[in-house]
Formats: sequence, structure tokens, C-alpha cells
Amino acid sequence: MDEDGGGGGGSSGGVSYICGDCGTTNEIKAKDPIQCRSCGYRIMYKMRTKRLIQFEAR
Amino acid sequence: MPDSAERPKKKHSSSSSKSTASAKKSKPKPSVPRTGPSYDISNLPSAATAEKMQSLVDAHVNSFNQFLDEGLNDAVLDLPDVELRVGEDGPLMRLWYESVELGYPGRSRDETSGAKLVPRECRERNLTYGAPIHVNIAYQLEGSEAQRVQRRLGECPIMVRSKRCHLAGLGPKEMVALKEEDTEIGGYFIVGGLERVIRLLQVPRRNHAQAIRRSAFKNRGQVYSDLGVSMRCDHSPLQLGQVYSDLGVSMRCGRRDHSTATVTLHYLTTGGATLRWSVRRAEFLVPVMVVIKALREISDRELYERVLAGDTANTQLAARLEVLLLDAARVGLHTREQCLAFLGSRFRAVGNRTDVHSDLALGIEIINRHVLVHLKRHEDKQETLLHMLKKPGHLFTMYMKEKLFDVLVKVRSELLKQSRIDVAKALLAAQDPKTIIKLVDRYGIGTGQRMASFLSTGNITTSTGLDLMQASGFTVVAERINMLRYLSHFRSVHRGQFFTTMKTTAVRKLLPESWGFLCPVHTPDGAPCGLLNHMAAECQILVSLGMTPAGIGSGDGSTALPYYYMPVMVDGRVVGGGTHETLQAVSRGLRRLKVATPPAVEPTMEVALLPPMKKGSGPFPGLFLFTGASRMIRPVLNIEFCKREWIGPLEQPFMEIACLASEAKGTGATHCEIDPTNMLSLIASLTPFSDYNQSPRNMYQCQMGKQTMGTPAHCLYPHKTDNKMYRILFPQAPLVMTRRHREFQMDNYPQGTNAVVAVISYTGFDMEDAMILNKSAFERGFAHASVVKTIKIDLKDLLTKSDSKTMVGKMRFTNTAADGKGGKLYENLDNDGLPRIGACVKEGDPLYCAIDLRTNKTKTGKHKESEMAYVETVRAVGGAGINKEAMAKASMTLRFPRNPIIGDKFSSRHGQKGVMSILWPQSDMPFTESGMTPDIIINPHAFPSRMTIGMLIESMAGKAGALHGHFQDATPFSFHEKNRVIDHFGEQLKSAGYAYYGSEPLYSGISGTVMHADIFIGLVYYQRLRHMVSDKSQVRASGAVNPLTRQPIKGRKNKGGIRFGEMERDSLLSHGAAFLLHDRLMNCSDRHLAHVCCTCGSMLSPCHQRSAVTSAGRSEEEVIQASRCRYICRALKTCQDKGQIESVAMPYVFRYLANELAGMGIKLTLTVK
Amino acid sequence: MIIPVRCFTCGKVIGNKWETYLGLLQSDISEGDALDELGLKRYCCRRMVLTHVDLIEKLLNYNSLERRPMQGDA
Repeated sequence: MDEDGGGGGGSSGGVSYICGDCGTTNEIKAKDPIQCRSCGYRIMYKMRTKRLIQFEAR
Repeated sequence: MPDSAERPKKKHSSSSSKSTASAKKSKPKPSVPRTGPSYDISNLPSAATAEKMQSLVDAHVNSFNQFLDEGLNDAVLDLPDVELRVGEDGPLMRLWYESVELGYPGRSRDETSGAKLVPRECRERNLTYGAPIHVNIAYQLEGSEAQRVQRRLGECPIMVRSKRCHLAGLGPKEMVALKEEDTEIGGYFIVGGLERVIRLLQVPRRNHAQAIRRSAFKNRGQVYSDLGVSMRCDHSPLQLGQVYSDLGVSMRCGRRDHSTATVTLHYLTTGGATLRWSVRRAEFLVPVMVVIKALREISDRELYERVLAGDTANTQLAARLEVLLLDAARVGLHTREQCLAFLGSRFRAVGNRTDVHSDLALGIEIINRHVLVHLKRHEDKQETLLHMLKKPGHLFTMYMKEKLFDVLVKVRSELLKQSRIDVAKALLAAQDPKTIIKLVDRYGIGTGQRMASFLSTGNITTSTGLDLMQASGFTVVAERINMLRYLSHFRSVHRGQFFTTMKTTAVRKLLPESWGFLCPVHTPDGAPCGLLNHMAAECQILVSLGMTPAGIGSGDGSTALPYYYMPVMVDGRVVGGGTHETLQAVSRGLRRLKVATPPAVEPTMEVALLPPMKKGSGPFPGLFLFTGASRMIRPVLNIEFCKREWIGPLEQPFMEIACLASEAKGTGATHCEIDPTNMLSLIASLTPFSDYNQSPRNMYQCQMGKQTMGTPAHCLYPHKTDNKMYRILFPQAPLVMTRRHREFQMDNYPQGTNAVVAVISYTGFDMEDAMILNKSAFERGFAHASVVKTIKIDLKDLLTKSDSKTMVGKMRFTNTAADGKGGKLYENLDNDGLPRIGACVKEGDPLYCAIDLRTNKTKTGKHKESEMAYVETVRAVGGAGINKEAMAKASMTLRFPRNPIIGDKFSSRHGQKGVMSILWPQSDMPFTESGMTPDIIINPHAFPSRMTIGMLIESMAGKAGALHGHFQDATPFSFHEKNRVIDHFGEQLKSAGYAYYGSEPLYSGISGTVMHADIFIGLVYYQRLRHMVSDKSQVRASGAVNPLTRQPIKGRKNKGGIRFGEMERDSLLSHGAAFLLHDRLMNCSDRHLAHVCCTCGSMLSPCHQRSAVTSAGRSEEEVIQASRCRYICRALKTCQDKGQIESVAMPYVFRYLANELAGMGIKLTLTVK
Repeated sequence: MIIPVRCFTCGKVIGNKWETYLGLLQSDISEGDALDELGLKRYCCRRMVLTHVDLIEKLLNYNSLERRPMQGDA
């Protein structure tokens, strides 16, 4: 994958997705097809970030 | 205050605790204790519950299975061959279907070939859950061998959980493993990701003659009377020959694809009669004698005697017969061959047939004559509305059949066209299987697509009419507002679109035949009242034919019955006759056979003995036996044999069925209801103590139960992708529930909260059906809920239409500018151009960002709603093709928190709805002796006029139940005068140390003093309804206007205003608020300054002297004020010279009116003073 | 869903009593006695525990995907 496709910053630009069938974590970059690398399933769920996020308490 | 020492140890006896206890004993102990009787405890519902739920959609699923197993092939066999002559005198070619079969849904076009396609994937990827249609087409040229080709005609949508569905027969555990809802019931189709149900439709009973008096019949011609007899026959009249078979032969051999045709007999004022039927929507009227004679060789005399059947006293009948016979004689048709030839010659064009066929068609059947004879004698009014249901599978079969036929017809016409151009070439082509394949593919591939579009629109495009009265509205979306709404889609029965337009209310009435089949409570109020019914909980629809009455009876014309005999008919065919007394004995004997173990006859057979009534009234007498499909049946208890018997709607009014076993004695009742609540639909029978409520309130509850925010599904996140779902966060099981609530384990999908409700007039915020909510209860989570919406994004749609086919890879999600520099475009989005999970989106925040790779322009989708939402799920969806294109489809689920605010709607289960008017601080709420404050305060005025005593009982029962720690049984009709409900729960309350009648002394939350009267307070199950102010609030100061009238537009979506209508105008007028009125209706609406010529009075002729360009973009006032501008009147020379132009303020619509009038040549003159 | 932390009506903490309640029922104590045992006197708190539907058990069936990588971590 070309590096331009990724976003700025240190991250490679890929975003983690979970396969809707087998549950494998896939890193998907901008030009990648949506398909699980291990089972070929075509629905992927975006993963909830493990980063600490501060929420506004209301 | 009742303390625990006072409270007696719970040794009460109640039906609910008993049933729970017994359930506990009978089953092995689960790992988790059962915490309530109305839901399955463990993480999976039991197989029994799943089965029970499944039984609700049996009508749909079984019907589709029938389509798969028999219907489809029967339909194909019933299709006539298509014939054509290749060239002028060339050989004859025949085309026909050998067989049609549906495969299983698969992702075959993916490279993961052979993989199963399951409904869940279709929903999330917006696909159609369909299976390939495989057809074998055979064709034969005259004088050569028949050849066969096998083709695939697209993909036909498949009903979920039918035999072709991968989910068929799976239990809850397997369902969860496939990521489907654990109690998935199926019964619907998935078309483009949407779940659609075919509606059940009420149509006239098949194979049963009905007399009709309809004034429209008179319009058919001078001699037509308003009398008619119609009969829906079982088979399709695609071809002429079959019309006869409808009346005769094939009715016996029982073709089974459930397509029907209606034949109507019209009586003429001259005494004659004509038979009407339609072929491909064209109606044909044929003198009935011609038809009769065509059916069987019969002499006039024989006919005369047969019809008269010895009833020589009946001069009217004799006279009519003479007319009929004379009619036939006048045409010159005497023998059967003549009649057939006559008919054949008339119908040749219609039949689409080549000349090889002689017209001598099939049937002779005495039944036809009998039908006619009966009806003749019974030409008087006979208004029996008989119910029969047309089920989804059957409709599906019929439609499919027609579409398949269309393919053949198109292939034929194409070949014909070719043959006209070049005979030799066409002849060669016709022998070449490739041509056929090509043509079949060209016209056939869309067959599946057509089925899908029928399901997604509910519209039928048909050339035959399919014997239906409507062309649209066959399918609806199965909305998952909550479980009740969802289930009721499958139980609803529509009377037919045609009846919605009828002025008369007669069709909306609940007839005696419907008792126990259609619920008397569960129908909407308003326009569809009585037309959209729901099946009673125990009612079922027969799907497969119980038996084929093939060999029964004579029917060969040898049985001539005397006129005083009543006929015996099996599925519309006369098999014999007898006197009333004989038939009574026969029907009793049949019933005995029905309930015998094992049943000697089909247990679902309907034995309708219609007794003779006074001449000229009532339905035609006789013993009518029905074994066919598409009938509603329900179980009752046969007292005589102490067995359960299935009965149908036609026989019901002529049976003696007692409501209670105790009532049956000494009344001559032969049957008895198994349970008095069996007459109610599932949803109606969930209302507790509904027998204590005023009946309309129960109707309202049926409506509101379906609008409640509840638990739509367990697999909500992340597998449900419905457009909009409502969800309550802390639902509870109702303390007071009916037996059926337990049976169906309704609290697997709970939809309410047991609220402490005080009935008291307090603070004035509870006036007029408003209710006060305890602010602290709200803060602790009471009635908290959220709306879940799924947004689907297809980048294909973002491109212009013409590009969409070639779009593959032309657009993709991104969060960087085209040059790849400058870092993220949107801080809120991730690198993939989609938001983070858990992100909060406000109005105007980006939801996605995509780039068009050709233009390098980015497109951003924004959150359009004013409400804030949380991103719950983001799905990236791969394309359906083999191409490895980048992400082009995505969907995301947003959660809108909707905690109660002022104006939100709540309701109890007794049709008592109210709007929350204020969140009242707990410190200011009235409190009981134990320091409890109510969650909800409602006004006592809600009760006297509405008479919802059930709610009062529920309040007491709930309180007693909570105190004693058990769930209460609230099945209607279980208490009576001897065993009063008030005593039952009063005693329970008393034994817990509370007041007998459910009231408690309350202390004012403001003064702290005890109130003069004791206040009725208890636990009532409250539902939160989906109507919320946030969805309805509408406000505007200025905004968009209608370009034509310049008045503000309407609709919340368009940021429009609320109509200030005539009645509002009247009220301002009556107050004399003229200035306000002027402000509202003119200044704030479409105020306009018009120029009027004082000389000619026209407001259209004055025009700007200077070119319009200078005034462009300036307001009207500016233009006028600009001193250099001058208006002149164009109308007349005199006006132009000395005319004075005045500007007048008026509503813009007035100018519009003037223009419209001018368009009609009417001049509007204003007098300006 | 999950048992609410406090009784809607009176604010008594009940969120900690659900597991105990299940335990009591498991040992064949009737619902009423179990509620007494938990010290729930008022009918508002009693209904909170008695009528609670622990839906989370069913909803978590569909959470298998996210759970898997977590197990891998452990």
C-alpha cells in the first residue's frame, strides 16, 4: 500500500476492523478491499478503540 | 406503616405461584434460578418458547413451503404450451416448461463459492435473500424430437425459515451461532436488506356459490337485473379449455396451485341468464344454456326435468327455464358439438392457439348444472360473507406462474418475429438450442428480479388479473418497533384494498362467522377499522390440502335429486343429496369421524350444514363439505365426544358453541370453547383484566402496545440494521400478567416498567391526561430509552447516475485530501473516513468522508439531525462482485439518547395514555407512611368517563404481588360475581398490612400534613410510547417558502411552520385581534407590494420602466424607494400617458389568483382610493 | 438489562442485591421470602428486584466477536 494513503501522524493509516464471521482483527487501509483475510467474509465491524477517551460528563 | 413483623408469612395460594412452582418441580434445575414466569431465565430462550413463537407465523412459512413443494410445479404443469408456426406454412413449434425448481440461497457469485448466504448477511449488506430459479424448458418442432434446455432465471426471494432457508428448523442455540435473533420466527422476505411480509388477504371462499345483489350489474345492459351469483373456482382460466374445467372436470382432478377464477352468473330481466368469466382481464358473457349444453350432451327435456326436479308447483322456475331453452334454440345450438364449436370459434383469438386444435374442449360436469340450478332457485338476496384466506405462498405461486408464462410468450413472439423476416433462417434457428437459450436468458433472467420487485413494492403487474381485486399493497415492511408490532404483522388479515374506498360500513362489521377466528378487539380505530383485522391467537390457516376428494361421489349426472332434497357438496361439487333430517345425521356422523383417533376423515374438514330457512331468505341450504386449503380453522371442544375439534368459519354460525363448559348444560350446545380468551388475538389477550374495561379502551391498548418503546431484538448491536428502532433501557416484567403472556414468554422482549402510580389531583400539572413524573425516579433511570437508527452509505449513490455502472473503484472513503498532504481532513473521523465507535456526533459533524478519484474532490456526509447521537456500530461492507475494489459501502448505527422530557407520551396497558407535563422533585412529591413517593401521578378524572376498571384492579394486584413476592394472574374472564376480583386482591393487600381497597394515607409534599382522603396508590405497568416531542417539536421564525405562493412551507423535515388554519383564524376573529391576524396571515406569511394602475385597475399591467436587471437582487421595498424607478401601466395608451401607479400591500397569493384568472381570460380590477 | 443501581421510587440501593437474590432463589427460597431476606420492605424496592429482567444475558450472546481478542490478550 502506498504510504500517502495513510493519515498523518505515526500511525500507518490502517484502521482495525473485526470480521463479522470469524472475529479476526483486520487492519484495513484506504485501498484495501473489505474482506476478512482469514475467512473471506465481507462484513467488518469497526473496533472500539482501546485508547483512553475522555467523555464530557453531563 | 406495615413492618415486616406484621406481614404474615406468605402461605397464600394464587394460580400464578402454583404454576411457577409446578414448572420448577417438573424441570431439572437450571443453573440460573427462574426469576419470573414470563421469560426464559438463561441466556437462551428455551426451544419450547421458540416453537411457540414460531407457531404464530405458521400460516406464512407453511404456505411458502407448500409453494416450494407442490405449488411451483403444479403451477408449471398447469401452464399451457406455447405454440407457433415458423413461417407461413412451416412446421409447428411447441415450447413448454418441464420443471421449475428453486435452489438454496448462496453467495455463489462471490469467490467464496458455495458458501451459504444467511439472512443476517443479507440484512447487513442490503442484499436480497434469494435462491436461483432453475427451469427446464422443452421445445419441439413438428416432426422432430423434443429438445431440452436448462436455464437459470435469476434469483427468487426466499422466505426466511422456509424449507429453502438455511435457518429452517434451527433452534435458539444454532441461531445465535449464526448471529441471528435467538427466537427468529421468519415468515418474511429480505429484499434489499429490508424485511417484507406478504399480507394475508381475505377473499371470497372458493368453490362455494354466493348470490349477490349489486346494482352495478344493471349497467351491463338493458336486460340485466341486479342479481348475480358468483363462484370462485379453484383453477386458472389461462386458456379456454380450462374455463370449462373450472366448472367441471379439473375441479375433480384437483389441480393444486391455488390459483382461482371467478365465474359469475347474471340474471336477466327477461328471465334468461348469462355466465361471465374473464380471460386475461377481458370479460366474456355467454348465454348459460350454451355453456350447459357444451358441457354434456343433454336434451332440452332432460334438462328441463333435471332443473325442475319435480317441483311442478314452481311456475316461476318453469317459466325461466323455458326462456332459457328458447334462448339456446334461437341461436341454433342444439347439440353439444354445436355448442362447443360455437364457443371455440368465439374464443379462438383469445386462446392464443394455432389452428391445429379443434375447439372441443374438455369438461362435462353435472355440477355445473347443479350450481346453476341451485342459484336459479335462489336468486333472492343471499348475503353471506364467507371467509377464506389467500395466503402468501399461494399469491407467490400465482405470480411466479404468470411471470414464467410471460417468458415463454416472449420467446414465442421473438421467434415469430424472426420467422416473419426470414423463414429459412428462423427454421434453422428454431432447431438450434443456442437460440432458445439466448432468448430464454434474455427474457427470463429478470424473473427473479420481478419477484423481488413485487415483494419490495407490493405491486402486481399482471395481465390476467389473477382473480384479485387489487393490484398493489400486497406486502408491508415488518417493522421492529417492538415485539408486539413485529408479531402482529404476521397475524394481520386485510379485507382488501377495494373495501377501504367503500362508503358503507357493512364490510367492517364483525360477523358471527369471524368469532374466534378474527379478534374483535385488535383492529385499528379510524380509516382501516374492521378492514385490518388480526387472527385470534388459536386460529390457524390450513395450507396443504387435507385430502384430494378425487374418487368421491358420482357427479356423472345420474343422480337426479328431487327438489325437496338438499344437496351435499364436497368442495363445490355435488355428490348427492338428502332431506334435512338425513343430513343432520350425516353431519353428526362426520363429526364423530373427524374427532376419532385416528381420525377417519380429515380432521380439518369443514362440515357446514346450512339448514333450510323461510323461502327466499338466508343462505342456500345444503351440506357443504370443505377440505381445501386456505381456510381458517380453530379448535373447540366437542362435548359429545369430549374431543378437540377443528371448525371453520362457514359451519360456525350453524353450530351450538357454548362459551363456558358450565353454560353448555341444558342448552343443547354440542360444542364448547376451550378457553373464553381464545377469541382474542395475542396482543389483545395481553391486556390484564381486559374484561373489566370499557371495550374501546382495549382497542386503544392494542394500538398503543404496538407503539411502545420496548426491546425490539436481542441481537440489536451489531446485527440489526432496521432504519429506526426504539429501545427502553431498564425494562421490567409486568407484575400483573395474563396466561398468554406466560405462554409466549413475552418478557423475553419486555416493554415497560412497573411504576408506583398515585391517583391524585396534585399541583395541577396532571390536568387533562397529563401526568407528573417523579424527577428522582427519572434520574435513577425510570423510562430511560434510546432511538437506534442505522444509516446506510453507498458511495455509488454519491456519483451521478450515469456513472454508477462503471463506478467500481471510482470513489472510496478517505480522510485525507487528494494530494495526501495536510493530515486529516476531519479531526472527528478516523483515517478510514468513518467515525470512531462511541463518538458523539452533533448537528453538522461529519459522519463520513469520501473522495471521487476522477475529480479528486471529497464529499462529506454530515449529521443532519439537530439531536446529538452516539456512534454505536460502524460496518464496512464489501461489494457483491468478484472485483477486489476498495470499500464502497458502509453503514453505521447511531444511538440517540431519548430520556423522558416534558411532552413525551406514556400509557398504561388500559388505553390510558398521557403526556408527561413536568418532572416534579421528589422532595415535593406526596409521600406515604413508609416514606415512598409515587413515580407517576395521574389525575382521578381519567377514570369516570373511561371506565378502565382493569387499571384500578391492576394497581391493587400489582401492589399485592410485590408485597407477597409473586406475579399475579390477570387472565380475563377468570373472576366473576361469586368470586370477586376485588375481594381476591383486597384480601391479599389486607394480609400484607395494607388497606383492603388499595388506598394509603398520603402526606402533602409541600406542607407535610396528611391529606384528608386516602389516596389510591399501587403498581401499574407503564409503557413509554414512541411519540416524543423531540420528533414533533416544530418552530420557525422565517425560512423556506413555497415558490408559487410565497407562503411558508409545511413539515418539520423542511423546517416549515405549523398551519394556521381556518379555525385558528376564526378564533382570532372572534377575539377581535385584527392586528394579530394581519400579522400572522399577511406580514409573516406572503406579504407583497403590488403595483396597481389607478386608471385601469389592473395589477398585472404595471411594469417597471427600466430593465429588470437593475432591480435584480434588491428587495421590493428598495426598488420602489429608488426614486429613479418608475412604473408604468402597459395596458392602455391613456394609462401610459396619465396613469397613476400606486403600490398596494397584499398577500402574494392574491397576485397568483389574478394571474390564474387572467389565464382564463378574466380580468381582475382593483379600485384604488 | 442490568439491574438498576437504585430503586426508581425511593432510591434504596438494590444493584448489589441481584446476585444475592439469585442465590436465595437457587436455594429454593420463595421469591417473597428472598425479598424479605434482602431487607426490601417497601413494595417499590421489592418490585425492582422481583420484576427485573436480566436481558444482558441474552444481549451478550451477540458480543462474541469483541470478546474473542480480549481472551487472546489474557
